Order: sequence, then C-alpha cells, then structure tokens
Amino acid sequence: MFELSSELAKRLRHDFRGEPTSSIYRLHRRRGFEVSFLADRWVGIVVSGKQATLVDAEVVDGQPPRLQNDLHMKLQSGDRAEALAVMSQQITNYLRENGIERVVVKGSSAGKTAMKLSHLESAELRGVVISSAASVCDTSIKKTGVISRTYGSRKANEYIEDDEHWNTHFDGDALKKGSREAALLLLAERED
Amino acid sequence: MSKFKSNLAIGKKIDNGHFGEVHMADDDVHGQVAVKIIRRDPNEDDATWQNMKKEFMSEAQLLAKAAHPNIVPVYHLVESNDGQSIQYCMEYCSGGSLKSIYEARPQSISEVRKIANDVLLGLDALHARGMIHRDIKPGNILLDGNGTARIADFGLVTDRIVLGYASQQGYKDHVAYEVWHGKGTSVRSDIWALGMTLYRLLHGEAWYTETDLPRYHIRDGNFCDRLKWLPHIPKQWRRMIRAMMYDDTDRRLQSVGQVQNALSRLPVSPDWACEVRRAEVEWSRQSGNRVVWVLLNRHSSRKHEWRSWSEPLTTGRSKTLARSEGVISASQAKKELEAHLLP
Repeated sequence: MFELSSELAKRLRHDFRGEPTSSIYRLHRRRGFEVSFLADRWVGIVVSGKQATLVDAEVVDGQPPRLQNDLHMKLQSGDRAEALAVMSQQITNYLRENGIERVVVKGSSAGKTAMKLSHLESAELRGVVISSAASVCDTSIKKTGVISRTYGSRKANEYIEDDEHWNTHFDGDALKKGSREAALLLLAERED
Repeated sequence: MSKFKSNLAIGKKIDNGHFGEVHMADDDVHGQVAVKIIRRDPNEDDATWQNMKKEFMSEAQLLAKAAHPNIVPVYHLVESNDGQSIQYCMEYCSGGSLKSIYEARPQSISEVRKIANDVLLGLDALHARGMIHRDIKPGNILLDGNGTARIADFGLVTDRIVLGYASQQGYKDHVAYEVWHGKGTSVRSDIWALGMTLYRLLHGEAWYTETDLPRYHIRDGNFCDRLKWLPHIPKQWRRMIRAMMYDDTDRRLQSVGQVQNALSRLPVSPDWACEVRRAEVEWSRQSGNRVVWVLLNRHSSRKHEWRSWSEPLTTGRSKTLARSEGVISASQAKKELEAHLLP
C-alpha cells in the first residue's frame, strides 16, 4: 500500500476518457488487487427550502469519514423549470467530476404542521436531487426517524447537537454545524 | 505527434484564435470538424519551435481526459505535412464563438446567466480534474447547435505563454492582477477571467471599448472598481462580478461552487435588451402587451438626455413614461436611468 499525492489521486479518479474510475477501482478490488490508496467518496445531501446541503467525505473502513467538501447549492431565482434543470446539472456535475461512489439523501417526512406550498416545492427539489444523484452513482434515501432507530442509542437530533460526537466520529474541522445532518446520513449509511 | 501526418481537408477560415486561424475541415472519421492551425512564427528558431511543439503535446495528453458536455471535444493533434504547423482538430460548434455575440451588442442578464451556468459546469469539471484553463474569454466559449455554451482551447496555454507570448488583442484584458505581478495562474485566476468575460458579455464591445482597455490598468490594482456599468445592470450583478475580480485572491470568490451560488441569487428581471451606438443607448423590454423603450441621447461626453415611452404590440397609442428635464449632466442621467431601469 502507498500514499498518493492528492493531486495525482484527483487525476486518477478519471480514466483516459475523463470518466470517473470508481467503478474500475471497485472491479479491481473484487479481483483482489490492492487499491486501498483511494478511499471511497460518499456524499450526504439534505434538501431544505430552496437549498441543497452536500457533505462530501472520504470513507475508509475503521476510520472516521474525512471531510472533502461542505457545500450549499442554492436554487437560482427566476423561471422554476430552468432553475431545477440547473440544479440537476450542478449536482450531476459535482458527483461525476469528483468520482463520488455513493449518495445518501435525507428523505421526506410528514411534518407536524400543515402542508404548505413551500413544503411541496422543497419536495420537488428533493426529487430532482435524488434523480440526479441516482443517474451518477448508488443513491439511497434515509429518513431521520429510521436513523434514530438504527444509528446508535440516541435520537438523530441528539447526535447532531453533540459536539463531542463530531469530534470523535468525523474528521473535518471545516464541517459547519448546519451541515451535520447531511454528515450524519453518511455515518448512518456506514453502519448499515 | 510528429509520427502522425495530417489527412484533413482544410476548408474556409471561420475565426482567428489566440495562436492561429480556425478553419472548417473534413476529417475521415469525424466528418465536419474545426481545425485550429498553429503556425510556426517565421522569426522563431528551430529550438523554440520544437519546444513549443513539445509543450503543446504534453498539454494534449490532458485534453484527451476532458470529455464533458460543456467542453468542446478535441479529437486529435497532428503535424502538418511540411512540419511548419500543428493542426488541432476539434468538434465543430455551429453557433460560433461568443466573440461575435459580444461584438454585436450587450447580452441580456438572462442570456448571460444561461451562458455562465453552462461555462461554470465545464470549468468545474476542468478544475476537479486538476486542470486550469488560463484563457477564459468570449472567443474561447462556443455555442453548439442547441445553444449550449462550451469551453474551448483549454490546455493549450501554459503559464510561460500567458505573459510571454500573448499578443492577441483582448487577451491580456483577461489576465488577473496576481498574474501580472508574477504569481502563477490558478483556479482563482480562471474565476477572474470569467468575471471579465461576464462583464464583457453584459456590456458588448461598443460600450467596453469606450473606456481605457483593462490591459493598461489591471496591474495597477483595484481594477474592479474602475468598471463602468451600463445603468440597467442590477447592483447584485455588479457585486458578484467585482467579487470575482478582487486583486486579493483570498477575498475573491474561491471556487466555481461559490460563483454558482452567487449566480443563483442574482435577479433576472427586468430583462432589458440593450443597443449601444455612438451617440445613443437604447433599451427595450416587453411588459404585457406593450413594449417599453428607453433612449439615452449622448450629445457629448458630459451632456445627456433621456426619455422613456411604451408602445402597444398591436394597435394603440404610444405613451410617454418618463424623461429627463432637458439636457442634463452625464452623472445625473446615469442616476436617473438606474432608478428608472431598475425599479
């Protein structure tokens, strides 16, 4: 096993046609080649209002996920159909160009308050994000309730608030507090 | 490359590129293609020319990796049969480059946002692959048959070429402050160049060339504060473009993602069409079943006058909406027009 420079690793994420090589690495792993120098890249996505929060992390067995990027993609103003198309392209582009292997999207859930148009529009955006992600890589949907039942012994919201949990379970000082929900999706997915 | 000789049937010239002319051509495999012909400078010695070819070849290895919907695919590089030029064969984009669009008139803010979205996707792909374009400008953005903007000519420019060889008109207008001061190109110098590109597209050539060209001032610093804006460009657009062009690279928008987010917040209405002529600037937009017009008469550099009226699309009378109180100062006209065009 050896360590590659991040620049070379970045280049190796694409094959000679410019396509992500993640599937090639998976294939090599199945064939028993030692390719552990490239960790998997997973992305957790939470859609809220007119924004998608993406937490991109390197996931290696036995180690806390290492933050690669914490970003927010905002739905552009103006024509809604055009804005959704742009969001779809941006999500697809990001996942493809960064060789993302797996995406976990926070699923919709019925709230305690009356359903409003803004909730429906947010669900539309969530649908666009899910379909865009699924066109690039393995994509799953996780609801907060399911995470609370299956991840650890506490409720999801308690983990999100717990600074100590993030210090020990996630490698990345730059992770914003508001992005922890998206990061928790990755932790929960790894436990499955 | 030198092992491969050209079999291209070169056709008519369609553009002038940074290093040479662009021609239509027929290729045995790809059919109609565009070919950039990079000719040897007659004053160049053998060693320099060989070195130049070597640089192009090393960069060509990167080009093969760059397949993306917003990047013009490069098929191959070959040497001409006489060894005096390199032929750079790429997909033909029937919509031409944004240079001709920029030369024709200012583009509306909705058109520029569409172009920016397309270009940012391509640029994001290049940056994610560890590449820098180094030459983002209207002439290097092509429109395909569907009107999608695609980046061309990346990978051909090296840091040495940026300031050493650049002589093409307009090129140095896209070189960021830190590059003028000896720092290398980077993701952030690409963002600077894209900021300048968006500014040029929003204003068109006639307006752009009314003031001193950027190449004479960028190195002095604070160039983004010197930009002269057409009055219909919203404040948010001005702020974003300035944020792409700050001298301080730490203060500048740092990544394509940040520019995409900034762009997503920009308004696209009112969406004025604009024409800039020597003594007049004219704006128009449709509002319901009427067309709103605004005309600025520039009697001199200091004395201006403007009026606005609406006309029905079909039948009816035109209505005066507003006007200046006779001939006023240029600064007063600018202030009044900003208030009128951006309610």
